[in-house]
Amino acid sequence: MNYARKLMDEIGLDGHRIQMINLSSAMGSQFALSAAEFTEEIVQMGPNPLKGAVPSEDAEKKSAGTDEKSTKSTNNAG
Amino acid sequence: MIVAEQKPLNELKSLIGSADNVLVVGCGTCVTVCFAGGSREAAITSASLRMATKLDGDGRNVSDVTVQRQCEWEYLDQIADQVREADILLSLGCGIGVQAIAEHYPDTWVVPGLNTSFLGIPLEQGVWAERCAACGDCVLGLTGGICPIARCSKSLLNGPCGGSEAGHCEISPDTDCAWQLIYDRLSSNNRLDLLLELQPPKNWRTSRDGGPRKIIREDLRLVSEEE
Repeated sequence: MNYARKLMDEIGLDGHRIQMINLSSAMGSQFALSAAEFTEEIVQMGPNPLKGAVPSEDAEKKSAGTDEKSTKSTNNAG
Repeated sequence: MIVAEQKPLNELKSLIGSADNVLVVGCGTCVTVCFAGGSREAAITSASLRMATKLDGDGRNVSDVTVQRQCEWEYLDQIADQVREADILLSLGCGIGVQAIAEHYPDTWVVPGLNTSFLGIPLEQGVWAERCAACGDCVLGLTGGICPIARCSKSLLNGPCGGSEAGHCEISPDTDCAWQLIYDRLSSNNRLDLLLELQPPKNWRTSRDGGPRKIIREDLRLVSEEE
């Protein structure tokens, strides 16, 4: 997680756009609460700055996919 | 193995300059094992540069490819097509890989994406330590398999020095005194007699002091009989 955040910061995206929590399958209410908190935080951060950036055509095609999304993940282990 | 570290992204951006088409070249050998320049790191570097340059309003075409070994011509031949399309190559190989690419593709500009650090081993996950200085005249047979050239801060041949304290080097309490390690190992193997023999000044001509080194094995060379 720290590595991913460092990469995001270096790129110029806010590393805090990535978060991960670990929950057991018996923690449904906590999962819902965390998801709501994540959503609120990411909304406050605003849209992904890459969406407004102007790419070269080929760069846009090649980078299309997961690497430019504002990623928030939960790891619902258990 | 050769141990290296990635350069910061800002330095990479500076190194690629104004090139539009960038090819990040990973290496599948030493720098893969030390998580600095393998296919995973090449893909991450490539994506990072695409995103960072896009954010700067100057998006570049950055792609990546990884060869098994950047230091051998046969593997570099395999990426000829990608190299032809690139304005610049960002090598995630060690310093040898960068130079091999430059030599193999003389018309293509190549820049280093890593800082090559040392010859060493992984002590544990995420920790690497220097073990060999490639001095060209190995003394490990006299020192119980612990290298005083690479692991003693002064490269002493007849240590320890006065800076050895409680098994640690004076440069840092985190650094073991190589000569303490040597003494302990010789002692546990009943070979302390080796310490009675004073080592003369080392001939450093086999190391870097003799200039760039080269090994020629006539028995292995592929030369025609006429030659």
